[in-house]
Amino acid sequence: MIGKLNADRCFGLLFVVVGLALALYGWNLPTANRLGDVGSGFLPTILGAMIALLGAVLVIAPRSEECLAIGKGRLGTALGFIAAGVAHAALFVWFGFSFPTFAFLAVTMFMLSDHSLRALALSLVVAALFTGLLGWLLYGVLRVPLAHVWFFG
Amino acid sequence: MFETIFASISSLLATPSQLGLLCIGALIGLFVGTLPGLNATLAIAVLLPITFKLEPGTAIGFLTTIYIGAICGGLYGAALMRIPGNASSIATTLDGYPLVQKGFPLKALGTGVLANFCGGLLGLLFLVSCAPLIAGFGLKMGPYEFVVLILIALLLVILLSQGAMVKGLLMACLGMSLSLVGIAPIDGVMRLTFGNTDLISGLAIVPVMVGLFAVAQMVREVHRGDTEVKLDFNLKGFGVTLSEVTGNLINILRSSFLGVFVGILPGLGPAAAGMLSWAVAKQSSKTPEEFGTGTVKGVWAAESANNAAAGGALFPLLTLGIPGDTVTALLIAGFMIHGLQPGPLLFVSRPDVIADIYVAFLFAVVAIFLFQLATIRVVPRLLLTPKHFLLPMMLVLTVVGAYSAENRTFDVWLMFAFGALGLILERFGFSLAILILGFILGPIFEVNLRRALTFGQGDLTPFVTRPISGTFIAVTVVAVAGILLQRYLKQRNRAKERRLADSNS
Repeated sequence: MIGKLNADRCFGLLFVVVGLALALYGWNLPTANRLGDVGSGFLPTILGAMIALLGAVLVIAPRSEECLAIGKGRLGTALGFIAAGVAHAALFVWFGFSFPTFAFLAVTMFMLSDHSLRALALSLVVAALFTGLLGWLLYGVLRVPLAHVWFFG
Repeated sequence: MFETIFASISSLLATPSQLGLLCIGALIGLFVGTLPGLNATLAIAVLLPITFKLEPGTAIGFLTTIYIGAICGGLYGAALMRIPGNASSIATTLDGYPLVQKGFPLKALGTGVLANFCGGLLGLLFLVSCAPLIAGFGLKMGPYEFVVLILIALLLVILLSQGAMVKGLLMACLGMSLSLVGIAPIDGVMRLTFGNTDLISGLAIVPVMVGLFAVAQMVREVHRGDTEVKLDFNLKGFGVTLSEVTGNLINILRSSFLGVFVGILPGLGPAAAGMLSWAVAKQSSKTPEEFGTGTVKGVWAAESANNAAAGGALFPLLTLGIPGDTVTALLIAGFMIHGLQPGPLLFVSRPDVIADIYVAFLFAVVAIFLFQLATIRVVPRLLLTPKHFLLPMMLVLTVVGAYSAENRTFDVWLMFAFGALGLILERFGFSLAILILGFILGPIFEVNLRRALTFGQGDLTPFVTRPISGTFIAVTVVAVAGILLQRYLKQRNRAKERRLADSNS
């Protein structure tokens, strides 16, 4: 509980900083003109002030509601999954759809499995099938503009 | 009008090719609605050119079935995996997913499917019977009314959702702040772009929503590892009892009406309709503490409202020729391809086209209902697919979805960034649903607030003195006072019980 309350205080402090920065940013944007328009700086200033105020409330009186616990789990695997996802997105930019998708699927499916030879073979087959089917559906049927889709160019 | 509708129904039933086309439209909609990142806008934009050669009524009807299908499709991901296929199903994650986690996927999907059907039919019924009347009322809604209505929607959702009110308010403000990125409305000033050209057009809804909900959920699942989900497939029929239906009749009617009303208002859309109806259903329930823990009442409210909102969105389009969102704007393009201008004149000059659209809507609702019922015992088995296959596939779909929405790699990075934000915020009890609602409503709020203040030369009194706006405020003040009083009494009773228990022990 103490940890959670401290977390709320940290978040509160963060919101105070973000809110003040937003309010200051909004303050420097064009404000009210002669036509009665409040200007594009009005809402950021108001929202920033509200965020800072609510953040301060959180610092002073932290809440203690139940929240989704992270608990014990496979932190390394989760981080590996995220890294693979980011790598997939990066390769997607350079190599188009099919190759990065196949590689990402094969690697992550094997990574999340029991690491047996059978799992490796299954991961490769499922990755190839899914890449082909999805490419055909998205590019061939729905005409989603993807680059380098196997069998479609 | 009813004669024309019956003529259109008999003509449709006599033409198998037309029936087949509408079926395909509904299934395409269902498919894109199920996958996070893909949506009705994309499907309609892609398929618009193929409607050139079709009859106008058939063409618009085909596009309408895609729209309806996409809204219904959001149910699957939202309930089974807490990954809403589109924004309209965000409210379904609140009770649909916990219900599935309790081991009742059939009940969650059965309720959602029936709610889709009821909401769709009621939305259509409202559309056919009171289109001109309600559209006229919608036209009287000026910027003052929009500002008040958006504030009411946010306030009610914050007050009635789980968690602390301060955190809810923070999320609403943060969501609205995120919507400020890009070119400001009215004066076109660049805001919060920090010199980045990718930010000029603002943050797109697809990467933000997919990141917050889908990516965060997938990482959470990977982290949790292979946990066995006990699924009860032994329920009779499709898991919904007659008493559940009759017990929720008022909930369905109220949510559908709210859905139609919110759908009529430009920009608010099915996402706001679902959240608002869920919050109102919780407030009206005798057991509000069950909401958010997997009660069917929450699924009924969310799913009937988002489908009814589709009917509502067609009101201003057909009666006034005003599109409320990007999908209905694309439907206008469909009209224009065939040299038609939606609006009051169309009801006089081409009632057959209007009737065809109504019939296509009806057909889509019925066809999707039958399809979802037929596959209701198959779809939940998706949860039995080993996670090491399912999760990587889902991530690929989100990456492709985020990229293809606007063909920008920047959106993929944005999606991952929001995934991280979603993980952190939810871990510490901040509601993502409220954040996304603030993000969706932010731009409409700002435009209308600035218009209202410009009209009144900075004067705030019209917010209270205008009849509709004033009534909204009065009703809200009473509702908020009621909610706060209820909370206070509940807290006092709890404290009393605790004191009694302490003195007894």
